[in-house]
Amino acid sequence: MGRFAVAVLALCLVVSGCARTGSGGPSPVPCRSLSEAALPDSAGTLDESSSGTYCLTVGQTVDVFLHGTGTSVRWTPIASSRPDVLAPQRTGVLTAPVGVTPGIFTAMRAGTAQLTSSQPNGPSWSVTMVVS
Amino acid sequence: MRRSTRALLTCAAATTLALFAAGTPARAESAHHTTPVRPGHPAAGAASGSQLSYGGGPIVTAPSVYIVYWGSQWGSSTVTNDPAGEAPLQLAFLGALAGSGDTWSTSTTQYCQGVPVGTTQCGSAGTHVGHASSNPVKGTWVDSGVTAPNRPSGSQIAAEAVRAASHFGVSGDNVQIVVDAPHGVKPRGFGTQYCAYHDQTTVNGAPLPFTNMPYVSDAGASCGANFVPTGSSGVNGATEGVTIVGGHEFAETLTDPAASNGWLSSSGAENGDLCAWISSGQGASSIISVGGRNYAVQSLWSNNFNNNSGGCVNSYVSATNQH
Repeated sequence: MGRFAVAVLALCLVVSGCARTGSGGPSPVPCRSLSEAALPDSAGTLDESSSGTYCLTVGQTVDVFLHGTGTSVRWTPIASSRPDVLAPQRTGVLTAPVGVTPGIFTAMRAGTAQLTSSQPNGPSWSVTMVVS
Repeated sequence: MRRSTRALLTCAAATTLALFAAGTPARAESAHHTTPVRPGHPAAGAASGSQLSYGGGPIVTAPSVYIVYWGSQWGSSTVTNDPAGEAPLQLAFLGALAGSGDTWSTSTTQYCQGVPVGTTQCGSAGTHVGHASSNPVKGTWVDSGVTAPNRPSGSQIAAEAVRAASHFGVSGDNVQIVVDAPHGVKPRGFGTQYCAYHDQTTVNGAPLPFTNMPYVSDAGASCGANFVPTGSSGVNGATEGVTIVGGHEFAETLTDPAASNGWLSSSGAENGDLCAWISSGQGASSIISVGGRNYAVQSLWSNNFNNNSGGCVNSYVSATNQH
């Protein structure tokens, strides 16, 4: 029983962060690496193949480019679930390629936000952005 | 001990429930990629009802365009390596955006500075975007003193704009430095993330608007090749992107040379973005005559179109004469 308890405790600590609930601190999250930035002053790039969790520090910017199919099937404008954490920025500086939906977001404060988009009658897309 | 065991089991149960509910991160995200959305979800594309509003920054009152052909790849003193003929096409097009022969770029003249932030209709107030009475291209330069990197970064492109500004001896909000990358040079992100972009840097402390203009035909259809049927217009479909994309950036620089605080929609789009890559209906990209020659262009957003409700127009003579 003792070994079982220790094993369960270890599982808790590693997977769920239960032991931290009393401290108020967030669970550690695995941050995937952003692809190389193309635009000036960007920390990196995401596209429709990106998934999972990505991390930024306050002040950093991430660019998103979702590639549709020609002019007929495009991704909807990319939305941030928490604009106070990850704020949309102007994308007007660039001419996006045909069928590409761009989005530029700046980390404003610590927290977690989802970036989402979808295609009409098609898939949706989402990533989690953790700002520290 | 019992209390500890109960606490651990509670924790384990919570963990199990959490895992069951959320799945692993990878599985959860996979689900996001394949979740169908409800039928009838609106498609992204040309915006409707997305008026531009004034952000308090500068606009261009006297357009002055300077083109730098970046790198010895273009040629030693004149352009000799230009397999698609982009340089003369671009020069002719931008040079024709003046006088009465141009009604394409004139929708930009409705926008102004010197009005309250948030303004959407200038009327006669403020100082308006200027429209050149004659050729706005004030200079060209083959910068063969350097070799353009094969995959230049944004900072390298900005540095070339500064180098060109120093060569021409210009700066300020009315200046547009167009940095033309040579054939075969592909700035990072070109063709997959952008076709071109405009930005602002500084030279000797003064603002310097510039455009990163790659060799657009290298990206093919992604950046406008054959986007508009040419018919008997004489337009070369392979290089339509030179004027579609180049015109887009030119017009956006007029209304937001600082690339941040001119005329923008609530989502951050400029007058070119709201009308990019429209293939049918109001504001569809088309071939028009500018200065007596045909070019492929995209439309531009006009706040005062359709009784101030806004829309994409290819021709603008006045608030009541545009389409």
